[in-house]
Amino acid sequence: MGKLNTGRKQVHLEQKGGKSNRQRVWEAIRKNKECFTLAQVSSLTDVHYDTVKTYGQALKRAGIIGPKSVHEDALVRDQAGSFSEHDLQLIQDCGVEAPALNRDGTPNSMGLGNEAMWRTLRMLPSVTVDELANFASASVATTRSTAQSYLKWLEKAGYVRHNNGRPRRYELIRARYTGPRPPQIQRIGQVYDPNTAEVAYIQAPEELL
Amino acid sequence: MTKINVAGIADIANLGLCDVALERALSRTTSLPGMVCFYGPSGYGKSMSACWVANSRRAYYVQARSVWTKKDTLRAIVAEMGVTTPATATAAALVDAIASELAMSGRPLIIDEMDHLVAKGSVELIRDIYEASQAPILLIGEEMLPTKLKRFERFHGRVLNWVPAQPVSLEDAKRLAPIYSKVTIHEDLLKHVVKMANGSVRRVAVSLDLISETAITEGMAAVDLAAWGKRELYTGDAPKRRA
Repeated sequence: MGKLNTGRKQVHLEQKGGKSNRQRVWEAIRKNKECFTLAQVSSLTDVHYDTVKTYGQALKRAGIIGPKSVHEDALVRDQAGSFSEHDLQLIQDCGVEAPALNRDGTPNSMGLGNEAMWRTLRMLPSVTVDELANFASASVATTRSTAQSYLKWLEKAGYVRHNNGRPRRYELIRARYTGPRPPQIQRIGQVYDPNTAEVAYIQAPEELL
Repeated sequence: MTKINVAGIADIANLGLCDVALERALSRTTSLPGMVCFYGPSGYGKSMSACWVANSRRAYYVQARSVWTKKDTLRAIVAEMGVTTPATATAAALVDAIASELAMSGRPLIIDEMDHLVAKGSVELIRDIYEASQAPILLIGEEMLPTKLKRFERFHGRVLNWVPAQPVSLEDAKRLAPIYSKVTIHEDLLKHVVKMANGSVRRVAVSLDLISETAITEGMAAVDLAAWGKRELYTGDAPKRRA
């Protein structure tokens, strides 16, 4: 392809219509669940073949997709030693959300902490930083500083506000609830909302000084 | 059951009850019904318990509103799941979409403020979703919810467990004390706090905070009933007229 392999794009650049590459790959697989090849999926979704292959292998190791014929492996080396494709099928449909997996097919908990904090903010009228960290920890271990930082960015982006009690209590501004997916904080100082597929906040350059 | 041992959230009795109830629905044999009803007066810690349980099991959570029509209810659940459906989808199509997503993802559904759906006649809707998915559904509502649901016989029979939220106990108060208070509160005062709270976890928490603030202002490191004396606690009642 001649593209430089420079790792993942920033989330607001990768996602199209609020969907990640993996999400689009997953949707293409579900649409063609009876029979597909990874190359077909790549061309259907306009996602780079290597990306599709990596995710395809994770799905295969997790037993979610598999070869159409039981006797053949999905990817076998031909005489020249390169991989040739076999037809695949969806074995276990897990719903609309693309399964979050590591390369080896084990579940990946990335983003679950944010998701739990976002859910907590919606379910409880108001929370302190400690309460938010502790409720989110019901899902994955979440530290106080993680909760503090998440609240800080959500507040900048106008999703939450706080009172001046001791300790401070934060509440979600109900009108700003955009959907079930948690806004993501990007290292470049942006808040990306996957529900609306928009950047909700951009840090002013002077704040970086 | 999962051991709930997180500093900052007291392992109050209701949290465990709610967790066990949903666990039973998740691990039930197929012949048993799969809906669970968790009910009790406001302030008993139902939402807190539900929040913890929702996070630990990645549940879909919707809070019903009094104005919701059947279609609004379905649309809200669909949106919560991130399922995209055409704007023209019929109610039946929405029920199917919800049920298939519930069945495939294996995640439970929590419906808070279920009383509103009863008032709007949407009870059968929830039963339809349950029948089509057989997925565990946790319904949360006020004290009278089981009585209200009795009218819907076919619905009533699909409930695996009726779990009444328990009034706050002295044990709960002992666990809450270190979280809300920076000073030591003696058992006799805790008992008094529980009595005045009339069952509500929320009131106990507010009272503990009040005691802590007062004690710090007055330079006390520990407070008992005698030291607290006739000072008022948080009861939730409007203040009495003074002579």
